[in-house]
Amino acid sequence: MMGRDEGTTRGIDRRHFLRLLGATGGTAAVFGAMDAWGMIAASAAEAPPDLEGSADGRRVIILGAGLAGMTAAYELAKLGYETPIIEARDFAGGRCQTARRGFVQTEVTGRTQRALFDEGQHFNHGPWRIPYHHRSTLHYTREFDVPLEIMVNDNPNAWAYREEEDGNPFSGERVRIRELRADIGGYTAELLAKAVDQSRLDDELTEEDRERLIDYLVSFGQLDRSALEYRGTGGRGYEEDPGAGLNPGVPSDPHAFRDVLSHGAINSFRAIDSHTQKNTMFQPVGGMDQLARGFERAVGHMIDYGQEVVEIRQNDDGVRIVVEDRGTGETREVEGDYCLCTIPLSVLNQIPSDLSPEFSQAMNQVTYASTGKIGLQFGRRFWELDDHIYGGHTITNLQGIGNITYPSYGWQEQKGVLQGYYNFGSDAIEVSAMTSAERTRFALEAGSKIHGEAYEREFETAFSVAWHLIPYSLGGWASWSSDARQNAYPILNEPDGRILLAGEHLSYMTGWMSGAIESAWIQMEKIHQHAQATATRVQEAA
Amino acid sequence: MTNHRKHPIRRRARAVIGRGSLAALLVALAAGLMLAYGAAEAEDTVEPEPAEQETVDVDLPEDWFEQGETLYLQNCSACHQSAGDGIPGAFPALAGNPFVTGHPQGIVHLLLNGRAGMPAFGGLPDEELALITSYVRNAWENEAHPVDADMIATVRDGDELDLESGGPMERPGAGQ
Repeated sequence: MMGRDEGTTRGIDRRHFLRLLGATGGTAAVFGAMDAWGMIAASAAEAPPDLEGSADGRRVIILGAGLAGMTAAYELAKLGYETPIIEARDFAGGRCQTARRGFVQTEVTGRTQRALFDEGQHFNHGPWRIPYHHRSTLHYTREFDVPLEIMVNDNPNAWAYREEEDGNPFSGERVRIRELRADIGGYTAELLAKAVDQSRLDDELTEEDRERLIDYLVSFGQLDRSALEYRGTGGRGYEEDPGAGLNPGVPSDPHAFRDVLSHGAINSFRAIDSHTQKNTMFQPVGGMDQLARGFERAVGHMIDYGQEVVEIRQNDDGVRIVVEDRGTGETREVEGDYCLCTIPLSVLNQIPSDLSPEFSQAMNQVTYASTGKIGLQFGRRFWELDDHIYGGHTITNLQGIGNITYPSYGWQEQKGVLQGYYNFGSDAIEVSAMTSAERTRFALEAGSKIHGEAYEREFETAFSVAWHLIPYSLGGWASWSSDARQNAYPILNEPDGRILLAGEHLSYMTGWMSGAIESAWIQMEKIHQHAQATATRVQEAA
Repeated sequence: MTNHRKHPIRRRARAVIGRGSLAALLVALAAGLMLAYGAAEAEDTVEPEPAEQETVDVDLPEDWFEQGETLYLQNCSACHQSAGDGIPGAFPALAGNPFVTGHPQGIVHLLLNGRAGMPAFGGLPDEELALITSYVRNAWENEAHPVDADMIATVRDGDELDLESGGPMERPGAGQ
């Protein structure tokens, strides 16, 4: 708890205050305060760099038509650069994909899936959320007229489900998140309010502080004002909802404090307040790939699809990229003044190149996240109709499942696609070793524990992804150890000769689209500065 | 799949480790690493010098190979495939890979920390990592001495495995 003297000292210097906050409130408190002051932007930049000067006929070969590559091409082309984009896939967007009817995915194992969702249904198997503070992503949704809708990232009416949890009387039984959340908040507030009321925290608090804190705790925990007791609250839901006429409703009784404490789900409630998860959360109408389509409308004519990069060469004067046409198998060379390479490092480190040994060493320091998701189409939105759940996540401790997420589109339509699992690490690897049919079975059996037989009965079709098995991605996102962040990451942010890297892997927002976009902004500025500097030298020499 | 059980199965498996020169082992390690992860043009493979053999006790359950196989299928086979032959251009083969069968320091460090796109498996307990490591070093046509949990712990603690014995070094209380 913050000491009164330190907290109220006038003129306390900002750094000292932040350190105090960090010591008392954890990093979340520090980040909140810094954001309020605008000292660090939530994401580092909100608009592309304002660059002047002309490209003078320079050519930047961009490897990869994901968000980083397309961002750089779009912005550099405005300055007059020639920016051909080499893309191995047959479509633009990189990992920014949406599965809808007809979408085909082949894993490196050779396993192929075709999405068989109904027309109008879709599943964001890659990125799926745009936090309000990812201003760079929102810059381009605005720029390219990509309509947004709310992605419900928190729904207290969804379920909390724990299995085989020691001492948890709700083990194997679904409980509304709102009940647990209200109860744990209420009881905690009650304990603290009574402690404050009984002067047990007088060393920390003035009389005025005490009164204010008790007021806050009464409001926070919905306590009885005079007894300072938690006796339940409408916010946890009613036994019978209030209605019209002579129906005031029947309040619900809280669960026992000890029972709530034993429910492991209570430890994930605050996740919604973490930096990347806070409201307001957005998604593009019609699927995340609408953002990729927006970029594609602007730079699609620069993209050469189905071209695999097989060699990356450079000398003092320029770069030479050897590409292989996936259709014909023929190779050819593409030459330019610079190369901006957005290929994930998990893939890039297997491509022969003239990158320096130091650079290659640094690339090897990064690991990539194994992660998987499954979209399940149901013929009836039983979660809405029967459980009154509109979007958000049911949180579970089911291994390999994690959260079940309900769609934030097509409310009250007949059918819908929900996310049946979102797994990581060794869970993701284990599930990915299954066939698609086995993955579906795995997801259905888990979901049935929470939603009963409707989960099996209404199921129609599934589409799953395991990002570590997806060609040209080989992982969900870069994952930096603190050691690698310190030793390898700075090296990779610098040019290696005439080759520069960009992508989510070169950001502190790994796995987020803003990381890719802002990394491209930073790197393209370096290219432009270098081009300007060398152009000036040439002029001076002449 | 063919199971090649190269080591006598007993309560405390007798492991065999080559006592080649330190330099030869390190060179072999580096060559294997390049083959496995990274440099696409590793042309020179370096054979470790033929070495005298020394046996070292490792503490593994009797059915370490079977347990290791189960864990391998769960945690590794999605990428490296159940036959250990990997996927060209994506995931290196483990069968016949000198990095896998070389000095255990390298592969244990890789498992714990990840490298070149491969995720870290340091979240798994030492016992399971020992079973996985021992399995991949002896599955298919591979042949190398098994590794026990104490050896995993040694590498996890940032210490070097004793190249002479293959056992833990400077780790008080390590089970030998």
